[in-house]
Amino acid sequence: MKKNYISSITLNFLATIILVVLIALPFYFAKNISKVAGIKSETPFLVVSQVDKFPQMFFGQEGNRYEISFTNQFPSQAYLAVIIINNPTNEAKSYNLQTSNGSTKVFFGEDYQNPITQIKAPAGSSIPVGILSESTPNSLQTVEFTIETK
Amino acid sequence: MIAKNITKLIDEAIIPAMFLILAKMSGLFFASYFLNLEFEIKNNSFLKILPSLTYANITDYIKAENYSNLAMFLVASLGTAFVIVRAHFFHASHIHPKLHARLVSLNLESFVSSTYHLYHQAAIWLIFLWLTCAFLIISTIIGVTYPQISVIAAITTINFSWILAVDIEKEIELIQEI
Repeated sequence: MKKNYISSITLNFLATIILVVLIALPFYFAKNISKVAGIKSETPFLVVSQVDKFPQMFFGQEGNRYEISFTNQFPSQAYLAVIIINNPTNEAKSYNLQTSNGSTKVFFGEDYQNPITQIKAPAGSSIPVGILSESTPNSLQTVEFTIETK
Repeated sequence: MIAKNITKLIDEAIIPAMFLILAKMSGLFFASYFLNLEFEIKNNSFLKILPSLTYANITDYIKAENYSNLAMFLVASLGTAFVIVRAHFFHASHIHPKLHARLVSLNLESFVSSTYHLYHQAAIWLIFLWLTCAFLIISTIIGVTYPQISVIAAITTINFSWILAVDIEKEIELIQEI
């Protein structure tokens, strides 16, 4: 008898859900069947150069290969927020910096004592990229790097 | 096991739900066809299985939405009006004897409906009518549907509800007389 009571409640509950779904269905359909085309960005990141804020620094790009050249002034020197990487998508993206071999490193953020080359950027966020250079003063340095998305 | 009322309401809700979906689709199709609106059909973009229409610009989208929402509301109104007419003139509890006799002579007795059937049908159509009206008002607030459509929808919905309430009142009086 108790079993029947429980199954009756369950069945009525399920039937009510079916009824609610049936009533809500046309409005859900009406809301989602048509859309307006928006500007959909397929680009996983945008690079904004800030090199004009640094003296004698130059920025170049060829495809996904970026190049920054500058003249080193001290044996060990960090340049912060040389470029800004922006995530224009609607979801979080992971970026990875691949630097070519050399004494100059490219890193995310502004903590030059703990340079990181991999970061997860929330949707719409901007991340500064800095350069950490260790070489003889007044020498011309060139760093090449690529940005990979995961 | 399942309450008879719920089963009856589910049964009565299937056809109106289908009509409303068809009205929305027809509204979009006819608006796009006759107004030459630019759109694109994108497969598997709605619920990952159904196609959806993507309009090239906001003006075309607003036009299509307005006409399709209006079509949806017209279907909900017509359905409710049909039930109201049946409740007033073909209601088994208070049908005019002359009309009843005429329907029997024409072999159209199926037009006469019981209170149980009519009020379940009316409840479903009224729910759909009020929800369509609410849908239009929300759509107007977010700037898609023209306010005139929502105003007409609200006035129609209130009046239809009132007419049905009059019939329910009449039915209660009849029960009390018995």
